[in-house]
Amino acid sequence: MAKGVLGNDPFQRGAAARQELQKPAEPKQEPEQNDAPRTQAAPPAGEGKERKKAAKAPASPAPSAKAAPKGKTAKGRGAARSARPAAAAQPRKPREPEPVVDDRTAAIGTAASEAGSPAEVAERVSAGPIAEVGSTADTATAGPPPSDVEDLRGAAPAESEPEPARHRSRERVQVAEAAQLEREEHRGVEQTVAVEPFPARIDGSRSLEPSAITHADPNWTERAVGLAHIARDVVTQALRSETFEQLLAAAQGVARAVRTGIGAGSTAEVDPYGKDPYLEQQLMPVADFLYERYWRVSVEGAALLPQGACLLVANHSGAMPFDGPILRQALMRERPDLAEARWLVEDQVFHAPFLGTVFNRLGAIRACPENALRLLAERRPVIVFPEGVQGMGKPFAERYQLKRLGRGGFAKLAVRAQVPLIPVAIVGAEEAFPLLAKLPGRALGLPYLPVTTPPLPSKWSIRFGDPISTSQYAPDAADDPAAVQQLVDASRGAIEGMVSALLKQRKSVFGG
Amino acid sequence: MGEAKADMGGESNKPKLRVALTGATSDLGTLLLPRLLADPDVDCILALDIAKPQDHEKISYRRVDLTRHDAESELVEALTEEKVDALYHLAFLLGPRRNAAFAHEVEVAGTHRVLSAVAQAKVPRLIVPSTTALYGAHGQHPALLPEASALVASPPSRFLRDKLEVERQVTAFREKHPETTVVVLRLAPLVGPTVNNPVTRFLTRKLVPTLMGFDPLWQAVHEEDAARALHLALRAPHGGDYNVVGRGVLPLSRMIREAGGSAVPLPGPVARAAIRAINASGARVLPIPMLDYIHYSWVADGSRAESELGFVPRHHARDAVASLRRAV
Repeated sequence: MAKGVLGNDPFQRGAAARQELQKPAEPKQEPEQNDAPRTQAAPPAGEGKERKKAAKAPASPAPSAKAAPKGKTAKGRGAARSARPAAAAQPRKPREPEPVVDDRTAAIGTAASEAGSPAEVAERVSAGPIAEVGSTADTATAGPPPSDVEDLRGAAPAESEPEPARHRSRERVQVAEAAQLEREEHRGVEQTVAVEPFPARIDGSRSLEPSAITHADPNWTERAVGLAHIARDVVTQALRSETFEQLLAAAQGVARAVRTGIGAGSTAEVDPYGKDPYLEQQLMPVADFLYERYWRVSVEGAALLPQGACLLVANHSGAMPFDGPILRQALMRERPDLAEARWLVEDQVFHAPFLGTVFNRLGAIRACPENALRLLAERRPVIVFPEGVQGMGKPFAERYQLKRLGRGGFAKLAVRAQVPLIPVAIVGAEEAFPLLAKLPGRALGLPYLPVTTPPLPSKWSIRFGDPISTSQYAPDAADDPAAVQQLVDASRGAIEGMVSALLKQRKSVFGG
Repeated sequence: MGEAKADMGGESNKPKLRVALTGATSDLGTLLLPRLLADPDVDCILALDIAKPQDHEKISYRRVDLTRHDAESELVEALTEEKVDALYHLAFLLGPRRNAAFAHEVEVAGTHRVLSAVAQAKVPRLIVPSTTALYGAHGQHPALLPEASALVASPPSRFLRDKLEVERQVTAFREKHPETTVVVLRLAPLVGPTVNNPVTRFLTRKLVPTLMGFDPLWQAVHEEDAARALHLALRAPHGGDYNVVGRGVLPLSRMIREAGGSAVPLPGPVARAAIRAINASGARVLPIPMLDYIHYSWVADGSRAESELGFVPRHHARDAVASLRRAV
C-alpha cells in the first residue's frame, strides 16, 4: 500500500532526476563522493525499514525506543542524505512544479515543530527528501524482495563503521528529526491519502500559522491522534526502561524525604528511636548513587571492626553533616554481619527543622549519654562525632584540623559500657561541602546557617583504625579524669594520624 | 471476662480484696469498674463519688465530694468501716477546665484530702494515675524517658501544674508512709472510642496545625490497655512509678492521619498565630503552652511496667488512634 502510494507520487520521479543535478552543483562535498556506493545502497535499506514499520504500524505506530538504535544507521544515512538535497532546496524551489498547497504539508511542518525541533528551515525542508529518497529507491530497486531488504540492512551497519566522525555527529543531530518525520509519513500513508511530502511552501513561519493548523481538515485530527499515539508509545517505552525506573524511585524517595522533613510524611512505622525503615529503603537509590558514583567512597580497615557493641569515633567535617549517614552506609556495606549501626547527632542538628526530622527518620539519635548507653546495651555499633558542631563550623582553611573532642564524653561512655573505641578518619567531606560563610540562623533555631555549595563530587575515603580497648579500666573509672584523658588522647592521635595519611595518599581532591 | 481471670493466675487462694475508688464515674473509673467486677478476688467495691455508678451487688456507694472541706473525715470513716485493702484515686479531670479554680480544688485539694484519709485509715495500697506529659517535651530529653526522669512539665499550663502538684504530694506521702504501697501509673495520652480528652480532641480535628519541619514522636495508650494496667496495679509486687504506654510510637503526622484528619505543617510563627486564632474562636485546638509537645518528641519507656507489673500492651498506638476515627 505504502509503496503504491509513494510510487504514484509524481514528486518521486523528479527527485531521482534532481539528485543527478545536485552532485555537480556541490563541489565542496567532494570527499563524500567516495560514499557513493554506500548512499546508493542506503535508501533501499531505509525503505526496507520503512516498509517493515508500515506493516506493523497498525499494531504499534511508533518504533519502540529500544528499536531505535537498531534503525539508527539506516535512518541516519537517510538523514545525512537528505541534508544534502536540503542545502540545494532553496534555489530549486521556484522551479518546483507544485501547484497544490496541501494542509498536510503544513501539518508536517507543524509536526516538526511540535516534536521540539530547532525548526531550522533546512531541517524541515529535509522532510521532503526523506520520503523522496525512500520512494526513489523504491522505483529504482523495483520493490526488492524481503530477503534483499534484510541483506541490505545487515550491510548497513558494517558500512557505517569507517564513516568519518564529523558526519556521524551531524547525522545524529538529525536522526531524531528524521525519525519523527518518517513516522509522520507513515501515519499519512496509512490513511491511504496521497501524500505530498515535498514541503514546497515551507520556507518560513507561514505554514506554522495557527490558521493553517486549525483549518477544518479531518486529516489533521487524525494526524494529531497519530502523534498522540507516538508520544504515548515513546513515553511508555521510556517509562519501562530500567534507568527511568531507578530515577523515578530516587525521585520518589527524595520526595518522601522532603515530605517527612516538612512534617507531612507518610511514615507508617518507626522504631522507638524514630527510624523509618521504609524511608531508608526508598532513599537507597539516592544513597547508592552518592556512595558509589558521586563520592566514590573507599573504605579501609572495616575487617578490623569487632562484633557486638563498639563506639566509633570519627572526625566531623563539611558544612553539612552527611558524614554520619555515609559512615553508616559504609558499615552496612562492608560489614553486613554487624548489628545495625546508629549515629548520634548533636542537638543543633537533631533539633534543626527539616534536617533533624529527616535524620531522625533515617536513624540518627540525639547525642546524650542515656541514648548512647541504651544503644550500646543493644550491642550495636554507635557512631559519634565528638567534635560536634565545632567540627562542622570550622572555616574551609582549617579543613581536616581536629577540634577539641568535646569533653571526652565518648571515652567515659566507652569505659562505662566496657566497649572498645574505634577511631575513624573520614576524608572528602570537607571538600564535598566547603563552608563558605555562616549566616545567623537564630530564627530557625540553629547556631548558624551554613553557606555552602551544592554537594561537590569529591572523592571520599574512610579508614577504620585499630580498636582502642577500654577493658583495662573498671566501669567506675569513667569518673577518673586521667583515664578518660588517656583514652581521648589515644583516639585523637589515631584519628589525626589516619586523616593525615589519607590526605597524603590522596593525589587529587576530586579524582582521589 | 476471661482475661481478668487469666491476669490473676493462681492467686485465687489469696484472701478476698476489698477495693475502694474515688471518682468511680470518671473516665478511668468507668473503664476500670467492669474489670474489678469481673475479678473473682475482688469481694467488694466501695465507690466514693458525687455520682452513683451502675447498680451491682458488689458495689456499695457513698457520696463523697472531694471539694468539700469535710470530705476527709467522710473518707476516713468510709475507708475504716469497709476495711479497704486498696484505694484507687481516680477523681481527676482529663482535660483543662475553664473553671481553673474548681479544677485545682478537685485535683490538688482533693488529693490532699484523700492522702491524709489514706494515712489515717492505714490503707495498705494506693493507686494513682498520672500522665507521661509531666515529663514534658524538651530538646534535652533522651529518646526514651525512664520513670526516674525529672518531672518538669514544659509549659506553665495550670492543668499540668495541678497534675504535677498531685505527683509531688503523692511522692511526699510515699516517703512519709512506707507502710502504704503507692503505685503511680503514668499513662501515655489516653485514646479510645469512649474517652474524650485534649489529646483526642486535638487528633480528631479535620485539619490539625503542626509545626513545619518538626514531626515529634508520640505515644498513645488504648483505653482498654489503660484499664488493664490499672487492674494489674492492684497486685503489683511493689510500689513505684510505672510508665503505661501503648505498643510502638508514631510521628505526630501519622497519628493525625490515623485519626482521620490531616496535618497542616505551618512555619512556627504562623502555627502559633493559627492556634491562637482557633483557640480564640472557642474551639480549643491546643493550649499555646503545649506547643512543645508538637515540637519535641516525648516518648516514655514502658519496659518497667512490662517487667515488674506484667503489663504488655495489646494495642498499637496506631490502632488506638484509629479507634478514634471509628468512634467519630
